[in-house]
Amino acid sequence: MMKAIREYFVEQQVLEADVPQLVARPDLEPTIELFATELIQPDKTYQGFLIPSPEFHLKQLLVAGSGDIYWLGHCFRNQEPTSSRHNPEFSMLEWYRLEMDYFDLMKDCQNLIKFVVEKFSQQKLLGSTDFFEYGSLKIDLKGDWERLSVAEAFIKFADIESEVLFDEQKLLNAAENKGYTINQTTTYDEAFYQILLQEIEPHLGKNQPTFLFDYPVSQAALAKIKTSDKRVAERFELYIGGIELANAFSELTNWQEQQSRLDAQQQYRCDHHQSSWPIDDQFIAALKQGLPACAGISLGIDRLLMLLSNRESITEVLQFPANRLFSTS
Amino acid sequence: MATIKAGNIRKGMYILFKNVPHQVTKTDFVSPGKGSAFMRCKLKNAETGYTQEFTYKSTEQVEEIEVNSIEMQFLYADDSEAVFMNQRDFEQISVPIGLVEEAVGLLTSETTAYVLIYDEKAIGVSLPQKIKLKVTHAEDAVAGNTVGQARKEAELETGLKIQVPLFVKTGDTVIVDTATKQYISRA
Repeated sequence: MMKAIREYFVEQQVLEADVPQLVARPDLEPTIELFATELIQPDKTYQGFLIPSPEFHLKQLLVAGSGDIYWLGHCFRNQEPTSSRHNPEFSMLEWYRLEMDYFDLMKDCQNLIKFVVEKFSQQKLLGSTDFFEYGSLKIDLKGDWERLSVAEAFIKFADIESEVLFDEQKLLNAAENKGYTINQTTTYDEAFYQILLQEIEPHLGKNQPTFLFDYPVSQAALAKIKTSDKRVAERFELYIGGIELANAFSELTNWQEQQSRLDAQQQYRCDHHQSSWPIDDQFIAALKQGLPACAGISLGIDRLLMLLSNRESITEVLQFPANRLFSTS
Repeated sequence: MATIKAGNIRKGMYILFKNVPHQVTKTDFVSPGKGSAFMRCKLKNAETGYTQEFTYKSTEQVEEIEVNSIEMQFLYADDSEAVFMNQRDFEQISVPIGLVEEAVGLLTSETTAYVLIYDEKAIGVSLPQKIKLKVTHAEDAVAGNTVGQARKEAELETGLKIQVPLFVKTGDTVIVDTATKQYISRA
């Protein structure tokens, strides 16, 4: 798998980049808890963390003029219960393409997975390059894969029109009418994701892989707002067999906007009593110099392997899953 | 009855879902990022055995229910129910077969198991971790071109077929793990 991925990027002339996995100021994304440690030096002891994502450092390389780059390595997330789709240490592939937007990146992502499937079938690990089986599903890989906007998906699977979807109060009301528990503290994002996870996600990527795109701006993270529709951000996720596999953006290049979003994330972490740390000023300083227009994507390698090898749980494709390493008996 | 946060739901718990007791048979934590986390649960209706998925916000309140467990002796099972008897008062109770599927093939008339009761109705059965069963048929071992842990099939008194080591013979009693339905050792 790793070999096939590297071969694809060699062919595409995308450079392999290396970033530190032990850092001082990692991503502040809410709800993610990190592995904290210490860097001990003769004069001082520094707080350190294992990276939840290589994004900040890859972007600094982009600013420095690296051109197209990819990174293949391990990321770490704490507190997420280990399950069929989560291991605290996981393999991630992240890559950035200059002069591409998120639609170009969908095509690139599709090409990469098709390339891997082709290599697998050459080695008789898969029977065909046209499809593969996952449980009772037969996933068709031929041609261009399905592209479905979030707004279309809400109409199709949840019977929620766009005017409701993009209106906070209307969406909360709609969720309540559907029988979800909505109270004073329920946020737009919570209602949005509960409907997405419960009613939409299980249908995605069932017959062929699905790119779900154009997320509400509150879900923008580091994505650019769409020029033609200010209600959405240029973000997509790839689903295969109901499983979320990749997350991508047309990258935000405006440093002020980036700084204000990080401030908001830091505020969120403080308000919700999560661990927090200063914003990475080196990252902001790099962005001030100007991140080139690009699109970036991260893809869960363990999950892709689990799908292609038709396993129900990522622990079946990991040689040393955490629940074995840390078992109590 | 205890109120818990959905983020603390664990496999094996019984909770009220739409006012009906359900057993949690699988959980997956989902964190799509940007400030929200969810618990996707597989819930088995404790009255009908029907299974469905539901995604809770991790901060949502859920009613965990207290289930009484009473030690009972297994009597028999047919297509629709499994019947147990309370050894103290000889009262019989039947459990819909859909709720005891995992116990099928492990119960003999000598087995005692804990029948789970909620609101005066049986909603499931909790088996001991290990159970002793007699081997009714095992082929003689064929020694030869095998290396390491060679296994063969054996049929047990309940009709269950499991893989056992070559030395296990017809008439032996073996200990079986009730969670995996796999051979542990000879009794």
